[in-house]
Amino acid sequence: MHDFLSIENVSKDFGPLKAVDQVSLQIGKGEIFSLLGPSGCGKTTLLKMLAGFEQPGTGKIRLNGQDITRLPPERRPVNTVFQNYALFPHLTVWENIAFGLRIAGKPKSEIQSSVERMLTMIRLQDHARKRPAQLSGGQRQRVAIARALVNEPQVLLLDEPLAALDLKLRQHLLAELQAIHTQVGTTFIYVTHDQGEALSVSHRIAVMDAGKVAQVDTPRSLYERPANRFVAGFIGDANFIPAIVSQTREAGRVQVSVETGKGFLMQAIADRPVTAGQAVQVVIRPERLRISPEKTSDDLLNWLPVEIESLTYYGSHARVRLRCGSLSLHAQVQEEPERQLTAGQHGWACFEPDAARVVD
Amino acid sequence: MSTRREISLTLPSLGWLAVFFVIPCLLILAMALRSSDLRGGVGEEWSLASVKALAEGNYLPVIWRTLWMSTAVTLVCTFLALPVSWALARMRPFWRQLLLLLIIVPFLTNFIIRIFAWRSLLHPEGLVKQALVWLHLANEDALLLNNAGAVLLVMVYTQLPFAILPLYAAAEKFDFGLMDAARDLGATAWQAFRKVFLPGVRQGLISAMVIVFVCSLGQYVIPQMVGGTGQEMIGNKIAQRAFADRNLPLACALAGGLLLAVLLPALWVSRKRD
Repeated sequence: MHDFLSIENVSKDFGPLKAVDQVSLQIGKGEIFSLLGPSGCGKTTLLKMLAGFEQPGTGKIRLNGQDITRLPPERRPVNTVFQNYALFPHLTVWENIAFGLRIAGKPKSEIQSSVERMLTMIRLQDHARKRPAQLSGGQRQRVAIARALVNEPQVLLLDEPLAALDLKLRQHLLAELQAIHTQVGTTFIYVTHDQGEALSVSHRIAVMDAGKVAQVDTPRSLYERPANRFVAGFIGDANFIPAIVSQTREAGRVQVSVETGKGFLMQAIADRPVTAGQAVQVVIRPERLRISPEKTSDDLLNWLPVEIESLTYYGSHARVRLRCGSLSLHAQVQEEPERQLTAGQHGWACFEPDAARVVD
Repeated sequence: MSTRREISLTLPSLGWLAVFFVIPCLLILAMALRSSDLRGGVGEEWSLASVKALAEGNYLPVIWRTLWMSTAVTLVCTFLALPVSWALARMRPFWRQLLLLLIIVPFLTNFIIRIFAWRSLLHPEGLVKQALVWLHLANEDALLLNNAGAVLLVMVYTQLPFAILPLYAAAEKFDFGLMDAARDLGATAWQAFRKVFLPGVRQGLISAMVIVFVCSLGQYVIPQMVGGTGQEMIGNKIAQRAFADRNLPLACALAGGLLLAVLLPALWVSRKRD
């Protein structure tokens, strides 16, 4: 099912730099698929290869079974929403949207009705005669989407489409983008460095690091079961605890000994096979840590003796810095008025075994 | 901003225009309506003699040649300047600076000397001619000098920087990402150039064409030095009337006619654009 667009062992070098290194991805029809990573991770180069502006050094790109690796951009059934929108300043909104159809030599009546339909979809009917310079950032962005989608591409590429907008507008346009996707059902490939955007909009995400794909999964799986330290650190907040595997059990349950100098034992989950004696990192999300003044007899939980170093209040929650031997942790907790935490206090941090994920 | 303030701010440039452009133009037009005397002076009384002489002096073929030569120079210069300005705008800064310098450096040499250089290059025994014969691109009897081609070539040579510089200024501000957008929407490289790049540098294109055309209209040194006797332009006639015949009113009538012939269409076009 995920073989509508397939990227097969694609690599691209810029001199000594491996911008994209042996990337293989399978993307399904109608999917919103994100390429997520810090700047310089190769996501934009990969997008340019999909659009046809860069040629892979090695590897193949297939769309619907057809090899499009060497097709020039104008001959691919793929359209792009550019980061700065790249609207034509000398054309009106209407003419910008009609550009692709006119180039394709579509009949006038068809151009007219297609452009009107797009203008209705992006709710800019009243702005059809304006120039891009007369529009707000959000409106320009919608025109850029309409200009690409009017050509009914098989794949829509979005290159950091919200990066130039402020936070409020970004959230609004994300919802709008999802509504448009529901309406047209086109495959969207969404490039972003913003994990929040990627998590909220995507069906699946490929996290990229230094030209390689670090992990491909659904947003929930990426967050809850990161494959490695990079993914865990890039998506959301995380505590990393260096540990040694001391015992493996059934269903990925492992016992690890924490290297805090106190030789603590902890129950955790490994999504990949590990062997006893292996050095690993244990990832714990800050919101999964609870803080309690007393240790209870609940042996199903992991307990770490901690000292509260500092506490920052954020209204809906508080962030707490904890120390456990040489280990520094942070937790995100709901404030309970009757039991206020204070710096310097000693207590226990507890968490379920499935909140502790073993990564390489 | 109040109207008074606006006026006071524009006054210096208005004054500059008046002193160096409007008043000289009016003086030329006024002098065209004076009588001339045989000693080369300008008479006191008003007269339409010079204006009437325009119809007699067989100027029409010269005016015609001036117009088509200037149009040809403008088109060739624009055609050549477009790829150059494109390349300049896309170049690395180091190479761009170097190339711009090379384009401007010839201006540091005297204009007349550069035309003389062309004369010797195009001369039957000159370098260009010999090279073309050697390459079998021209036969021994071909003439490269004293014809319309020589005038066109040397005029393009002198005017080209005036086409490149405004076009480069426009191309440098052009967002070349728009070319990618056009390609992405199905345009070929040529369609993208025509539908996106050309409109994008429209202002620079207009400036380049106007500057080259107007400068070409008034040329008289080049037709005289490399065009022989058969390639006279209106500038040559004006120069002859002013320097050889010492008939300033007739020279002014010719110059005034040229001025109006350029100014009126330009005014009409700019009126229409508003």
